[in-house]
Amino acid sequence: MNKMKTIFLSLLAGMILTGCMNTKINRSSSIVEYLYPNSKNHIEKESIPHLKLPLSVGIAFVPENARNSMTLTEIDKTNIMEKVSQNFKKFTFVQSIEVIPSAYLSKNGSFTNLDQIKKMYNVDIIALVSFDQTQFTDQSFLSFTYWTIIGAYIIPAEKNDTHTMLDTVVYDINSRKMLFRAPGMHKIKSNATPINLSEQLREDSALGFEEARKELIKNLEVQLTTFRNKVKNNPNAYKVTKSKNYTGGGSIDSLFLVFLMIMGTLMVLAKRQKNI
Amino acid sequence: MTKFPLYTLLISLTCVIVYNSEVLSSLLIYDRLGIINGELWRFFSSIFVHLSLSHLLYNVMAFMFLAYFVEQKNKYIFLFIIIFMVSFNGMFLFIFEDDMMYYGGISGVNYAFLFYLVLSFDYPSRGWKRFSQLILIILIVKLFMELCNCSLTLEYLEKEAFRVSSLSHALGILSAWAMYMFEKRKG
Repeated sequence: MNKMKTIFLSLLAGMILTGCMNTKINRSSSIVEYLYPNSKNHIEKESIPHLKLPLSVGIAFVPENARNSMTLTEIDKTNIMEKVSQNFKKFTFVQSIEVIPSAYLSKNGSFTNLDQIKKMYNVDIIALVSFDQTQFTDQSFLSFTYWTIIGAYIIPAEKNDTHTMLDTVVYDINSRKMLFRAPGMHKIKSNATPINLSEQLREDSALGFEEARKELIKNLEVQLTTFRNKVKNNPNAYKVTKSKNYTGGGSIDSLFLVFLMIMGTLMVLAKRQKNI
Repeated sequence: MTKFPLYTLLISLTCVIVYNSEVLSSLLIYDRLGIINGELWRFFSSIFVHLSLSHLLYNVMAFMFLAYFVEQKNKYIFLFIIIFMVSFNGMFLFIFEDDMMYYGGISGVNYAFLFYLVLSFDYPSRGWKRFSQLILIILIVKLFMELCNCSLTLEYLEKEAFRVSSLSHALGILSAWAMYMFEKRKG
């Protein structure tokens, strides 16, 4: 009887202990830390943005926080940026969009770093992408089956929650002014066994970024249209110059004028002849 | 007998009013992105919009001179050319000039009227006719070169902050030639 009691108590303790276990992994990069690294109270002096249409835009991921283990590889980042940039390209007021590799952005680089990128890539506007992903893992009631060893292989009692946010902030480099921002968010729930937990978390992480990227593109379209109207309606807040090729007009040249004068002379002559 | 040039004055006045109203100019200008977003009237309204004072003055003065003679000669031909240019100018630009975001100007109509007058004018002497035809050929060659190389071979009257679209000029010439041929066949 005592033996049975011991086994029951051990199982109960195991269930309580495993039920209480939870982990949290957070990976993020911060635009504020990148742009204003020395002082959180520092406010950059802004001036009126001068937008030269069509725009030359750069897109880059801001460097990740030091505490992060590697979340996004350079290939992942480039894929995300390529897909976001395709959305920019369909707007005719965007002349070119350069995908800037992470190596060109130094940690806490601030606007000095952006000025260097502006010169290297010949861009006026930069879209800075940051992310924040948090993954929670909790054990469900069924986790007591792990005590049987086999349960750890076949019972998916690990409950995962993955919250992902991608944020794009568009800056005019010269004026240091933020033009607009567009976020993309996604939340995934999944289950895993302890054996394939890390694999499932990796899959969730990748899916989270993919779905957040889709959401970001949708929001970016809305924000770009809103920004375009804002520029139109606030001519004092934004200075816009259009390059010569951007606008077309029907105009008269010197040969046309010569021709016009000949026609005028002819008509006068013809009228005189008729009167005679 | 001289007729009152009603349409000439109406169109010239419209251009002046549109130029002086920022709201009307931004509402009527050919705006590629606006058209993509469903503002289809911009296809047809861009010829009434001008981008600078000199652009307006040169275009409208030339228009008044040429349109007066065409309207006196044949009111229906005058209206046909205007309707043709209003209908197709924006569409041609949309298809063939995909890097051009904005467009405005009535010079396509001016080219159409000038060519129509040259082709159908009752010349006082054969020499004048040959001379006019020669300049007409030079003008066509120039336009053709501009369309092929996408650069201008002659200086324009003012150094404007926009690219001069030769496509609308070519379209104007096409409409004038079509009208002249139609008139000739009809006898």
